[in-house]
Amino acid sequence: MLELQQLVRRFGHRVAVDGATLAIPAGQMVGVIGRSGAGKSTLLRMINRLIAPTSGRVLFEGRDVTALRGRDLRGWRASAAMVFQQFNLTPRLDVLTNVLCGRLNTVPAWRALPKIFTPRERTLAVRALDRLGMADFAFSRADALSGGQQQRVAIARAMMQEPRLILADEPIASLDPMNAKLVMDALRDINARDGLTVLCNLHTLDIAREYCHRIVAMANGRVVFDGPPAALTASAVREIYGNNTNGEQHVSQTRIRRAHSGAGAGAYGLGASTVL
Amino acid sequence: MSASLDLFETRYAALRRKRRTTTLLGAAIFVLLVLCAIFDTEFYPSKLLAGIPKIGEYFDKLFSVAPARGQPRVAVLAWDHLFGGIDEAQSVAYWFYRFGTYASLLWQTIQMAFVSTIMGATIGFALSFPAARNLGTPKLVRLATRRALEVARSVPQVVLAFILIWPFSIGPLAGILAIGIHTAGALGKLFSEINENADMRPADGIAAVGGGWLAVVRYGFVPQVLPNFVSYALLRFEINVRSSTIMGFVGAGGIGQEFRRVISFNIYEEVSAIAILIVVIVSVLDLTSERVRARFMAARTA
Ligand SMILES: Nc1ncnc2c1ncn2[C@@H]1O[C@H](COP(=O)(O)OP(=O)(O)O)[C@@H](O)[C@H]1O
Ligand SMILES: [Mg+2]
Repeated sequence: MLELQQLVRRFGHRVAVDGATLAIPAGQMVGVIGRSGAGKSTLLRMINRLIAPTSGRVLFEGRDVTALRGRDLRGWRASAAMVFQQFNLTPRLDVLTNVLCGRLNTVPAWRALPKIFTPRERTLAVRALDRLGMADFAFSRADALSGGQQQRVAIARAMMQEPRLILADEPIASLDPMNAKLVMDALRDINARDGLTVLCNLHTLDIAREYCHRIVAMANGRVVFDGPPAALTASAVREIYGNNTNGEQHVSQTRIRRAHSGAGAGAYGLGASTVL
Repeated sequence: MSASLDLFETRYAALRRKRRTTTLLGAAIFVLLVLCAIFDTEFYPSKLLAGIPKIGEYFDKLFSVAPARGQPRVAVLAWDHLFGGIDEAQSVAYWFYRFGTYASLLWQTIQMAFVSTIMGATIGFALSFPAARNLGTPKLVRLATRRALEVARSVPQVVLAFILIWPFSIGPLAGILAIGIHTAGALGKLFSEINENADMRPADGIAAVGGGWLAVVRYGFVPQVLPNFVSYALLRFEINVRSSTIMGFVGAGGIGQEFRRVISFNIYEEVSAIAILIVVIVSVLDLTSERVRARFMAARTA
């Protein structure tokens, strides 16, 4: 069980996240939606403490993780794996080493500095890569891969952490529809087979509806919707994105929807673009 | 509309007046500083003109020989002289008759540069991470490191060498330490700037898996910044070869000590012999290291 209690984060006088309260039972796949600037990334980053909350608490299985420091904090980060929009791999390192980086929380410095990993760690890394269909690329440099391949490597790295939950911040925003589907399928597989809680920021309603058990919508730092996809009615969507959505938002969603149908994946629910 | 345009014009004119005053004031101060410097250093055109013909005199003496004491000198730059034996004055063999000494001293000079570059680059590498602003190092540690690097690179190397001769006695060790310390300061600063310009996403990635400060440095920064570090260290090696040629002037090892000796005894042939050797060696090393650097950069983008 992951609980967020009255989480607030200010940047100067701008409130990025404004009193977010959520309770997420283990094993749920949750989609966080909302327009750009709504506070989705800040919310996710506060959970694994890449950003410190201004106030409020994050509890995981009853333990307050907002108070953790030093080694405990790093241990928590290892169990709340992040997947980033820009993959955040180390470009000049090979894929295998990038995946092995997922173990850095437990590898002692004397092994980490000269890049000494145990056979067991390497086996885990190759298995993780294989699961994501990337084992053939183990010795390629990370920056030689396409975006979709890099994101799959990043997910393999996240799996190396043997995490309790996965926090994915717009994992498919920089990918083409084919790779977006591969990545979302991988996250769903991890959620279903390994029983990991997945929190996924998404900027397309269609994807959130298709993949998530539960949708949380944010607007201006607040949680404005929290429920199953079916409850996300047209009027609820209007509230989330605002009546007069700006042109940019509209265009980007239309483009994404078209791209999806173009890729032959037509069976998405009611798209935001149709509603707006 | 026209009222607001007028207002705009007035403001624009005021702004231009202000800028012009600033520019003129700046120019005046600059000219004043240049004049001061010229008078203080006696960099007068008249002196300059008077000195130019004497440049020839040096070469006159170099390329001529007096048949006997007090007799007028005769120019001797001719092939048969140049390739005459060791006993023939003005021959190459005569100039370089102490070539063995020069060669071993030059070798020592290059090794001084090599060792001091490695020492400086290693220290600079280690300090560049706590000195960088984007690694979340405690502010006190960061400022202390930056000050230390500043001090290390602001003391002139010859002065440093001279000071170090007291504890470490005359010889290359003092020279190596002096150049090494300066190199650490210079490279540490450059390296920390490279770190500050690094892409933060890989570093965020490592922090997010629960890696500590060392892990972030090792896996988030080093792979990105190392090629640039190597390139700057090679450049520094070229500079250090030049620096180590003068270390001998204060007794800190290398060809410089021989250079100083022949200068103080007015042995023209040897002065020029050593000067030529230094120029040749420095150019060869410059070219080689440039090649290596180019290779390195090419490999990096491949
Ligand atoms: N490091 C930061 N410094 C200042 N403002 C920030 C920072 N990060 C986010 N913000 C602001 O907080 C708000 C929420 O940002 P973010 O969480 O990135 O939104 P989203 O991910 O939903 O697009 C935005 O208004 C953004 O400008
Ligand atoms: Mg975001």
